Amino acid sequence: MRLLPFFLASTLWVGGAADRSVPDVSMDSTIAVAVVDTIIDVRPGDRVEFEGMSGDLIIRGWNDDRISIDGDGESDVRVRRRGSAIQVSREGRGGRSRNFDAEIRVPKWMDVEVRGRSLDVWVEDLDGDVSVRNVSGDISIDQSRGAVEARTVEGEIEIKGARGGVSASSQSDDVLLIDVHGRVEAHSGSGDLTMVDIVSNSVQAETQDGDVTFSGTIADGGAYRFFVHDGDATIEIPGSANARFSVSTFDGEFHSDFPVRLDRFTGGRAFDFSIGSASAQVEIQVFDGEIRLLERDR
Amino acid sequence: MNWMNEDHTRWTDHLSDYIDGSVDPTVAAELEDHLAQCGACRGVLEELRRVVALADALPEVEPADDLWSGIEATILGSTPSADPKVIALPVGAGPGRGRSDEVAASRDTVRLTRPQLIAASVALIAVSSVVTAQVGPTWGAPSEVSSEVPDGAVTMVANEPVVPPPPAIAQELAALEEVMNEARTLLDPNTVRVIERNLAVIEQAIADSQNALRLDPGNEYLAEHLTRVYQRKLTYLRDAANVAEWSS
Repeated sequence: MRLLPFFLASTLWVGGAADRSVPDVSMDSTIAVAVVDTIIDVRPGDRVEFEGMSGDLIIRGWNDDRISIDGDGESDVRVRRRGSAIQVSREGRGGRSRNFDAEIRVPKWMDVEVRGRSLDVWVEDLDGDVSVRNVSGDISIDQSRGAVEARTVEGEIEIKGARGGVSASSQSDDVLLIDVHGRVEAHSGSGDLTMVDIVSNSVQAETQDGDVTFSGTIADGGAYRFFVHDGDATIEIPGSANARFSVSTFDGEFHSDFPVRLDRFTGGRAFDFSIGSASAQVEIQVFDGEIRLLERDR
Repeated sequence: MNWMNEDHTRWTDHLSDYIDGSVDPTVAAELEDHLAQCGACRGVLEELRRVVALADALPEVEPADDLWSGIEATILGSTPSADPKVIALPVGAGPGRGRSDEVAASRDTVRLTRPQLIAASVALIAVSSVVTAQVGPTWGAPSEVSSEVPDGAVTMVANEPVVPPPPAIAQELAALEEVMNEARTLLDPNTVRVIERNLAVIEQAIADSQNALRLDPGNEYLAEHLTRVYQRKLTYLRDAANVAEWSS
């Protein structure tokens, strides 16, 4: 009886060093794949989840309803279907922990989820939602049309061309967002937050030890909140913006390209003022650092 | 796919403000959309409303004087709080003492693996955190902080009265510290170092804020900032506990 699981497991290993295999994952199943070059058929509505990864992972969208995994020839992964989820996880052998370096292509429409331990991740050109959570390693996401979530304890985050909003958090490194549309939540424990060409009606950015830089539009009715403990905040907005500003600092300077006529002064270094019709709300709080409110295109 | 498939903290974090009517309108609209589709979050909302109703009916109780010192002891990695109200988790089963893959939730009851226990704790803490804002703030217990205000002009002396976190936040911090103590054995040593370093940054921010508040006790911004930093610490510890859960 004890040999049966071993026998079954052995039969589930498919592929080989040079094989290009197409495992049947149409039903709930577990298929271990010796990865060098593997293709997996998927169905509309499926999502793909990468779990427990370490190494370098490049994920690109393509116009094909299949997942292609090109690995480094030394690592194994287990491919498993759970309902509509295609789960790809690293397969340990003999207790050895190996990196999994691979280039993966997934249908553009697919939602992608990555959970890594020590992993550098590049994701490009997807219409589906992307979620990457990492313990250590950099995360780069380029041209994503769905919602983007990126979290790492230690590593830089760079997101460009996102169109479905971004939630990004690095506990100890910088976060860079460029040309992002949609809701933005950005956080760093001890790194800079740089947001360039942001088009959003909801932005929240917070860092304990670093600078916040925002350059983008201010939508009427929008809400924009910037919190810094030890660092500077530089907010660059169009001269035509309509916003009410709430500015607070304990130990810092405030510089503005805009005329400041106080609506409210609460003592210390906290005050409110408005520009235009004051439709949007902009809150800037810096405990120890400078606040600079700049006019774009000036 | 929602932004956070596996946890709903993005939404539950707003429920307290939502009940208060103080949540941002944009967030409220998104939250209501989510609630319409998510039974789990609706359940948390109903539970929270029930807890709020119960809390409103309770008499005010002074916090225990030694609450903060217990939290500090936990933060410093010494013995955990013996407060029975805090989630009971075993600590000290580090690699050097032999690692057990299972721990007893209570005598002759359910046994959980460590990842399961951490997951359960995170879930429980996530719910309790929603209640936090309803219970606090109550200020009072002393702490030991020694640091400088940003311009370095004033150095504060240890043992001066400071502004500790509201008791409910303090309890949740203590519980999370215990979770992290447990998770320490599951995480890579480098990750543990990074987490500790990041916590030190937050602790410094707390010390800065407390010292500033000593100098200017009536400053609304400083009080709000300090609360925000405490909240940030909570969020950080929750995230760290989640990392321990899914990376283990």
